[in-house]
Amino acid sequence: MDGLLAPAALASALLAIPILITYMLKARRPRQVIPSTFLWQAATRNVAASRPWDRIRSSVLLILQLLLLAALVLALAQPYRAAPGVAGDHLVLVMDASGSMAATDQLPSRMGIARIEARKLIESLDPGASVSVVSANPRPQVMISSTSSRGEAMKAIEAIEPTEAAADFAEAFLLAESLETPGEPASIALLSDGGLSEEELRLVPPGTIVRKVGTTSSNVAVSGLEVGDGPNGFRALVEIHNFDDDERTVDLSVDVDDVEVASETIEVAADSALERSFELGPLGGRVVASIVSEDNLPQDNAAFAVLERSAPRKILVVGPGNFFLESLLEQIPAAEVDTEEATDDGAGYDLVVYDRAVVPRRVRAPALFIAPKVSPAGVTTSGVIKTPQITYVAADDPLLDQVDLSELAIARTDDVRIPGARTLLGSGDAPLVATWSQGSYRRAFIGFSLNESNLPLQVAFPIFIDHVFSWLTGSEPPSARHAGDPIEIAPLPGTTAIEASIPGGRGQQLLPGQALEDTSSTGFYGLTFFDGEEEIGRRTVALSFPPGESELAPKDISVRPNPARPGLTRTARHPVVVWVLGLALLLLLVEWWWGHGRPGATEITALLRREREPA
Amino acid sequence: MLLEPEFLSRLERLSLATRGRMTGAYPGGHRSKRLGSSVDFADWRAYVPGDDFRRIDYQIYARLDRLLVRLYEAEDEVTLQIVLDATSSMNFDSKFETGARVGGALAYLAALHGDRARIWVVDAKGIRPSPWARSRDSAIALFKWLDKVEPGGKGDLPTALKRFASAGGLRGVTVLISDLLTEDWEATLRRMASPGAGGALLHVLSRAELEPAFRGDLLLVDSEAGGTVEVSLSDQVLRQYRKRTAEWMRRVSETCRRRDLHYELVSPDDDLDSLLLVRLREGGLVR
Repeated sequence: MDGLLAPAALASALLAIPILITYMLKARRPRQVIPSTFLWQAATRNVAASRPWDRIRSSVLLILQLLLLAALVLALAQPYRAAPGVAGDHLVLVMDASGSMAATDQLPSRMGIARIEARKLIESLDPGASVSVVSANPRPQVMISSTSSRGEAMKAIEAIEPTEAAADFAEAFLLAESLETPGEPASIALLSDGGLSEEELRLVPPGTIVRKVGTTSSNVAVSGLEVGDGPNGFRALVEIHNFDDDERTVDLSVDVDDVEVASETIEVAADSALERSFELGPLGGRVVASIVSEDNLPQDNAAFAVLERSAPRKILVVGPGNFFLESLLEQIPAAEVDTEEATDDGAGYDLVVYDRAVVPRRVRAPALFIAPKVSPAGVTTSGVIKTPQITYVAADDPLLDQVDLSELAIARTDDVRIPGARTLLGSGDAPLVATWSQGSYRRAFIGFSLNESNLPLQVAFPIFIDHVFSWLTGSEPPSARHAGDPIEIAPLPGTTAIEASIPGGRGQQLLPGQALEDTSSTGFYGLTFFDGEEEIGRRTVALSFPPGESELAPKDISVRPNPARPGLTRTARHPVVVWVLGLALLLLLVEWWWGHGRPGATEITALLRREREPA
Repeated sequence: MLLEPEFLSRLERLSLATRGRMTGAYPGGHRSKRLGSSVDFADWRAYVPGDDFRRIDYQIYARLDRLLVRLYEAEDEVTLQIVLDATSSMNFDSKFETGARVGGALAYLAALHGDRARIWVVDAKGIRPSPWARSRDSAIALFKWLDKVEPGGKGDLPTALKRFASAGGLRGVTVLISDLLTEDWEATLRRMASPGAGGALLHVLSRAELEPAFRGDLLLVDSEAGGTVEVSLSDQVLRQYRKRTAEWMRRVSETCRRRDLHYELVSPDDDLDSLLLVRLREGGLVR
C-alpha cells in the first residue's frame, strides 16, 4: 500500500473510543457465589471496587473488533498501491503465444503469468484509454482492436492459448504497429519469455514495454527425429536434449503405428544433447519418439515422423536426347524412363521432361521444361539473353538446399516471364530457374539448355535435379517439419480437392496448390486427395515441436528507446479496497465465531485428533 | 450417623478440660468454686455450732487450743455449650458438616465423662438449643438432632449470642464454631466472654476461602447477604486478598487470646483425629 485516496476518512478511527469505553464500562462478569464477600470487600477495596470503571484488559474480542474497525477505516480511506503506469491513450499488447509459453516453471504457466502482467498494464491505464491485443503465434492476429472496455480486452487475452509452435514476432510487431493511429504512437507492450531470433529482436518496435516471464531453463526434450533407410529397413535417429543444469535420466520409447518397437533408459548430461539410433523394421508407418520426463514443458516430450516407401516413377523424356540428363535418370532407383522425340502430353507418366522440345499446349503430368522450343502454357518468351549474370538466388528454397550454384555459368538463356512462378535463380527480371503450379500439376522451368551451361558439370547438379523431380512428383520430404510451418502440398495428378485432418480432430478443405496454414499443433496431419468425389490418394505429414521453443531459459529483450512512444511514465494508483474489505469480512466472521463460543471448535479438534491417531 | 463408632471409641480416652473453677448444678469431676466433700483439703474455718464434729481438726486443737473445722474442695460437673454457626456462609465446602462433627465429638466426650453438653444452632431463625447430652445415649440423640439441621439463611451471630447469654448459655465452657465471615465478628467475640471457663473459637475456613482458585473478571455474590463485589482476579489482587485474609485471621486470633478464648483454625480438609486428639488437646480444650 503506497497511499490513501481519502485520508480524511482516517478520522473515523475515533470510533475506537466508544468501543474502548464500552469495554471499560462493560460489567458482564460471570457470577460466582461465594460464602461471603466480607473478605473480598477488604481485599479489593483499593484494587477494583473503588474504580468507577474497569481497567481495559486484553480480550480477543476487543482485539478483533479493533482490527475490524481498523480495516473498515482503511477501506473508507481508499488505500492504493502505486505502480508505474502506462501513459498514452492506446496500449497495444503483444502476447507471446509460442510453445515455450506453455512452460510451467511459473504457475499456472508462463502464459498465465503473462495474462496477469497484461491485466496489470491494462489496469494502470488512464480511464478512457483503449487497448488492442495481438497474439504472437505462427500466424499472428489481432485479437481485439482499440477497445476501451477492460473486460473485452481481458476476454481477448484469456482467449490466447500457447501453441506448440514458434511465434512469428516479425509479423506480430508489424500488426502491432499497424494498429497505431498515424501521428499518435501507441504504447506497445511485449509479454514474452524472450524466445525471439536475432532478426526478430531487431524488429522490436523502439520504446516497447517488455514484461518478461519465465524463470528457469529446466527441461528435457525430444529435439530431433530423423527417419530414413537403414541396412535392415527403416531406421530412426532420435536426439534428446537436456536443458537442465543437472544430469537427467529419461525413458525413451519409439512407437511405429502405436506399437512400441524400441525403448531405452538413457542418461543425458546437463545442458547437452544425446543421439540414439533405432532399427524400425521394413514396414512404414507413423513414428513417435517420446520420453517420460517430469519437466516444465511436456509438449516437447514427443517428436513425430512418417515412414514412406517411394513408389516407382514413370518418367518420359521428350527431346533430342541429352547425355547428362539420361546418365542422371539412369541413377534414379526404381525409375522407368521412356524417351520420345515427338511431342507428347505425358498422360500416364509421373513426370515428363521436355528438353529443348516443343511443349504441347496441354501437359497432363508434372513437367520440367528445359529450354523449350515452344514455350509452355503460362510462359512468355520475349527474346534471348546472352551470358546472363545470376543476380538472384532463392537460397532458402528447399529445392536449393545443399545446392551450390556459385560456379554456374550460362552461355545464353531465354528471356521469359512466368506470372505466378517462384524464381529460384534469376538474372535481372528474367527467371533462369522457376517453379509454379498449373491446375493440379507442378511445373519447373530451366531457361537455358544444359549443353549451353556448365550446370551438368557442377557437383550440385544431381542433387538439384533430384530435388526438382521430388518436388514435381510430390514425393519430396515435407517442407514443414515443425509445428507452425505451413504445409506445402504437392497434389497428386488429377487432384481437385484436398481434405486435411488436423491433430485434435479438426478438418479443413483445401484446393490444389493451397498450403495448409493451420499447423500450430504437433502430431500427424492427414491429407486426402480427391478427384471430384473419388479419393485418389493419401499422405501424412508429421510436425514436431520446434527445438528452439524447448530452450526455456528466459532471454533478455533489449529495446531501443523511442521518446515519441508513451511508456511507463505515469504513476498508476491501483485501489486495494477490495482486499481490505475482504479482510474486514474475514475479521467479522472470526469475531462472530469467537463471540458465539467458537461453535464447532471442539468437534474440529476432536476430528483432527482422531485423524492424527494411528488407525 | 454424624460420627463413626470407631472414632467415638477413640474419643473415650478424652474428657473436657477447664482452666478455672466453675460451679455446676450437679457434682461432677471438675473443681468447683464451692467447697465440698472431696478428698482434696482446701482450708480451715472456726467451728460454729451445728458443724459436723467429724470435720473438727483435733491436731490443730491440740496445738492451738482452738476449734477449727477442715474444709475440702467440691467437684462439680461442667456444662459445655457449643454455638454452631449454621448460616449460609457455612454451607460451603462441607464447612457446616465439619463444624457439626467437631461439635458433636466435643459434646460426646463431655457427656461420656459426666458433664452436660448441648449445641446451639444459629441460623436464619435465630438461635435454638439441642437437647442436653448427659450420657452416651443422650449424646447419640443429640447427633440425630444435629443431623436434621439444614444450614442456610442469613444469621446474626452477635444478636444470637446475646440471646444465648441471656438464656444462661455462658455458664460453663462455651465453644463457638463459625467462620466469622461477618463485619460483626468482633462484637460476636465480645459476647463470648467467659472469664476463666476456657472457651474456644473453632474458626472454620475452607481451602477455597484461603486460596481462591478462580481467576478473571467475576461478580462475587454473597451467599448470605446477597451483596456483590466485582473483582478482576489478577495475581496482584489474589496476593492482596491472601495478605488481607491472613491479617484478619491474625486479628481474630489476637482478640480470642485477649478474651481468654482458645483459637483453633479448622478446615474441612482436616483430619478429625488429629484435630481432637492432638491439636485441641494441646490447646487445652480437651485432656
